[in-house]
Amino acid sequence: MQHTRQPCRNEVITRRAGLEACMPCPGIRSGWRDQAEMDLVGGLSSGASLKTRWVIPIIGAFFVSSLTACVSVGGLYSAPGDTGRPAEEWLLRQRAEHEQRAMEEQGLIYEDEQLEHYLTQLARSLQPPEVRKGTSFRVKVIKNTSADALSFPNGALYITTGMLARLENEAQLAILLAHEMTHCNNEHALRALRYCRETVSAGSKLYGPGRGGQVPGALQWGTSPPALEAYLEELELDADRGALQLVLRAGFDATEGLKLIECQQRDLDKEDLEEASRSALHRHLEKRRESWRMLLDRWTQSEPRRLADRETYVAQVHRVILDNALLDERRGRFSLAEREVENYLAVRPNDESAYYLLGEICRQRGLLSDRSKAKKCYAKAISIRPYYADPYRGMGLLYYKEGEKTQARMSFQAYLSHAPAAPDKAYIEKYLTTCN
Amino acid sequence: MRKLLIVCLLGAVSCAATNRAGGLYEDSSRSFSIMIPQGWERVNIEKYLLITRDGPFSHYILVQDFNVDKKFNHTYKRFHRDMLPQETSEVIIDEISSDRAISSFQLCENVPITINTYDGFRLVFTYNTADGTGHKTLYYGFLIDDIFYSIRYNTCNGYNDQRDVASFQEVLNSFKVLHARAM
Repeated sequence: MQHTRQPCRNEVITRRAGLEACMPCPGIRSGWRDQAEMDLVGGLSSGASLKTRWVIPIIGAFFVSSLTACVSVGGLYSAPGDTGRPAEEWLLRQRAEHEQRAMEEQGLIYEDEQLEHYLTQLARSLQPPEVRKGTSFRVKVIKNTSADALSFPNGALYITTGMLARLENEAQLAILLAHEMTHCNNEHALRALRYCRETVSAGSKLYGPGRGGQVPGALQWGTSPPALEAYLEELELDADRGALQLVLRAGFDATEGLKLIECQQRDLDKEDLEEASRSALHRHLEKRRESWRMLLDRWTQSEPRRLADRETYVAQVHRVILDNALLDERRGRFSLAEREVENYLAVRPNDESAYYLLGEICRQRGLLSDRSKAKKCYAKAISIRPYYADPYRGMGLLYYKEGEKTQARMSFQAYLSHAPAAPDKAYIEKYLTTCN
Repeated sequence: MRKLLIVCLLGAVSCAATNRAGGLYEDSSRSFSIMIPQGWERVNIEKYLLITRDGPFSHYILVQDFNVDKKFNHTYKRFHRDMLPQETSEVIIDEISSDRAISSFQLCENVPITINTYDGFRLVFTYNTADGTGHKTLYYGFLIDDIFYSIRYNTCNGYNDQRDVASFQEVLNSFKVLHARAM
């Protein structure tokens, strides 16, 4: 969508032959995948997350297709059996259902019924009774290490594993959910669609000279039409205002909203973003932080009734934190993974798999200073579960590289005795030959 | 006249894009040499050496040298100079399996192997690309000082030609590291 230049012959070969799929050749198509993935995810994104970088692309991708259909239909019409419903709303719901089905078919959903139940109940507890009957909210989790959240006009809310892993307590989670729910309650998707529609029909006001009436291919913070960015930013601020009211009414500590935004600002620098987008997002988050601070000044809150402690929250989401740490470790985001595992261990101090994962993170990071920590973690994992094979392997690799052949041999032998059909048996046997 | 011009232009373009080049391959921009099997042609792609006999959409052999300090496309993991072949193979697996452009990645084999005196690894894996094409790849890799070398043979959509076994073996056996160069 974003890159419209014609590919050269070699690029065509590269793509069609599936070469880029396994190329250690940076830059072939960085950015395309992310865009495509988020197009797939669709929906109206959270302004309360790093996801903000996708607010505009998603709205662009999500609404533009609907918009095209609307324009071709020409005005409002009723869906079959659904008399009187405006065309945009009907199209949005259709589109939302399509996107949600696609996510499920792609296997992007993190399957955990208990977690979904907890999140959905929390969301519903935020919704005041007079509004509750309007939209039935339900929350699902997406397997993705980015800190994102999305909402669809039909009340479906999605949070990524990365976001859940980075939240500090239930109050922050409540604020995030309330923000997304406000997008639905205030029909932001519909408003944004109508805004796009009106602006398109008004010609070049939105898209600038020479692009009047054209549907934008892709929109991104920092590179999108300023008028559209400003409009969407106003929707985000509106979602924050709505979120504040919901969490205050539910008795959560609203000051956690500031910490949430500040955490996103800090994490922004760790994300792979173009400089223009990063700067624009920093400005956007700063504006939201300032707005949240002013709202807090205006609204006096009595003593929060609901706890904001980390332990309560982590007790509910501990498994997803560890699973996300594993995803981060596989992607080589070692600092994030390390932080997540340590947070997890703070409330689950006897989980051997977490110690093993921490050991793996330290070993793979490849720093000399990490080696002793890695060994301690492996040793701790073994002390909790002596027949746990994998930590012996990690330990053996460290000793082997240090030239400690005797200890390496003992570790490798222990590994193979506990996992005689290990997939890397051939490597281990080769190391053992050298050690002997 | 116009038809002749078009034919000439097409001829020129195809000549520029590929080189019939059986025999020794050495290039000042690369730190390795290989023997290109007879009947195989080289496709000019700057970042790596790609040779094929029946076209890259059916099969190809790809050879690449890659500096350890370079970033990957999909994983944030990096090579380290003291990595064991097993560790480098795991980085490659993470790089490939993190690629969102492919699906159904399946690792069939990961074993240590010696590639013309160099200690390395061999991977066998399959995957699909977005257009539905199925791929199967034999991936050989090893690390020497600052450079990671990979030699892979890839087939698309079940392409199968027994001649390729001997051709790929010829490439493997002829592979030589020429010099460490700053890449």
